[in-house]
Amino acid sequence: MMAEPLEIVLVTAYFVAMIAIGVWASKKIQSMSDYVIAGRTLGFWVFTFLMIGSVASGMSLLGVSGLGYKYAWPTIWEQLAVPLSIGFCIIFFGVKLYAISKNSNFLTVQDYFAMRYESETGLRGLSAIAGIAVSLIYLAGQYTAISIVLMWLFGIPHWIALLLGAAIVTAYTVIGGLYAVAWTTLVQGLILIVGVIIMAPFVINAAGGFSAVNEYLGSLDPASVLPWSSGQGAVFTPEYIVSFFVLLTIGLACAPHVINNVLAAKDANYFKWTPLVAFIIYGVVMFLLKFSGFAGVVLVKEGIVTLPAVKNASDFIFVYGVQHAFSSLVLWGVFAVIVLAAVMSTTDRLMLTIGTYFSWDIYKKILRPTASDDTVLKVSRISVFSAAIVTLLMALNPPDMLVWLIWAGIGIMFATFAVPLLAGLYWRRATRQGAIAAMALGLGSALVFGGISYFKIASLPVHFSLYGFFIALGSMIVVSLLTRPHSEEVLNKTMTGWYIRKVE
Amino acid sequence: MFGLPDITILVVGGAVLLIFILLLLWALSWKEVRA
Repeated sequence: MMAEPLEIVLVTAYFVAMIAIGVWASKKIQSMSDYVIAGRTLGFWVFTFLMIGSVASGMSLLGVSGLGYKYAWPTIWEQLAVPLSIGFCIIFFGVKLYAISKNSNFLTVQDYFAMRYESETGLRGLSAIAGIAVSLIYLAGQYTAISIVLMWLFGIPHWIALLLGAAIVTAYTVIGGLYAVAWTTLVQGLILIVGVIIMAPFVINAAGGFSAVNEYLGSLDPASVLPWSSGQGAVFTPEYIVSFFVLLTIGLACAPHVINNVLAAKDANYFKWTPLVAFIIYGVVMFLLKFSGFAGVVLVKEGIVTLPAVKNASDFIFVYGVQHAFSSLVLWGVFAVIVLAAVMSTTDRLMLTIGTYFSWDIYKKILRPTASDDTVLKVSRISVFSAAIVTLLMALNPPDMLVWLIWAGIGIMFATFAVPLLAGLYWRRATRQGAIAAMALGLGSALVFGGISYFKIASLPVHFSLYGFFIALGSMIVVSLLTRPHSEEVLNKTMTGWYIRKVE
Repeated sequence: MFGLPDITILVVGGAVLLIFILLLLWALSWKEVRA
């Protein structure tokens, strides 16, 4: 389709609003702490929406309904695991990291690693490089999602769509840091939630309603309405679902662009309700999107909707479902803004993470310890910009299914960071050498098993990242037990032990 | 119900309820900290 003037006006207004927030936020940036963790000033709702917005991504609107369209009910577990990842992140990582960071003035998770494992350069550098690498992969998936929307809306080529989307996100992230990212995410989150709650029921009704859609799916294939699949060639088998659930819940929780948010909250008491509130809000959105994907099966099979002849056609199902359900051009424009909001809320956070990890952990802490705050801030802005360029080049050739690329990113984050974080926070015997081995082998083996899975060299019964996770876990245990433990003083200062919090 | 087999309703509904209860218990057991 080609854009009508009204749609162009709506999308342009959205872009202008985002830039305006960036300009407003840029006035608040006085130091690296302001840029990276918004000076630890985020209130309850801005913090809660930042957590939701960081996990709500291109996968939410396009991939989730695309996967539901392709594999139906056995994929429903994604709807529980992703909203739960916010709670997991806060409860198992956030409560402790926040308390330690308040005492020690941390800006990034690498600051924690450096202190807990007494590795100012080795582990910090490895973790920052791994964080940047996985964020780049994940970011490429997000840009693909942005271009899907812009291509559909404006009928422009993929590369122009990519460039346009990236330019806006880069602009407000570069100038406004986490202030801009958090406040734009609040706006984007509200747009996403209200939009999906209004629009998804129309798509489902256009296919005959929720019960009728399920009956239709069941008549096509009775296995498609079961909570898992089985038999020859089944993808979402119970064992695969378990690995998928663990991957999404823990992998997203320890993803660099998610976990770093916990350092930016103004008050530790937010950790009381944010897990449940975020689970409910995002859970409702995720379920509605998945049900829209199911409805898409009816719409396509009955010839009501025709998907475009592109290799990632299933990712277009929600977009085309909405286009069918709404004849009003105003609503199409609003819808385009909703999708852009979802995608951009993750994209900006990822870019800021890359910028911070490079400027703070690599440049300031390893390469130029004497660099002034101003210089580091400048390097940070240049890194955010460079991250956009690198990712754009990666996203120019999108994979068959957007969601697989994003999963690969989460899987690698899971295999790389889960073990050093969990062991660091909860196991007093975990050592620097153990953490380096776990991180390096987790990352390496996730890449190897990811390659085996992607190139179909062998059929893996569980998600590839689980192999990486267990290799990381094994190496952490073995290497830690073979090396000298850290001093009691360091372990006490970093609140290491088998507890989540101690209340005096 | 909803055009779905009972097992789907039970397993998926049960999982939603279980997570909801666990997160609620977390919130109710939280002891306030001084800011």
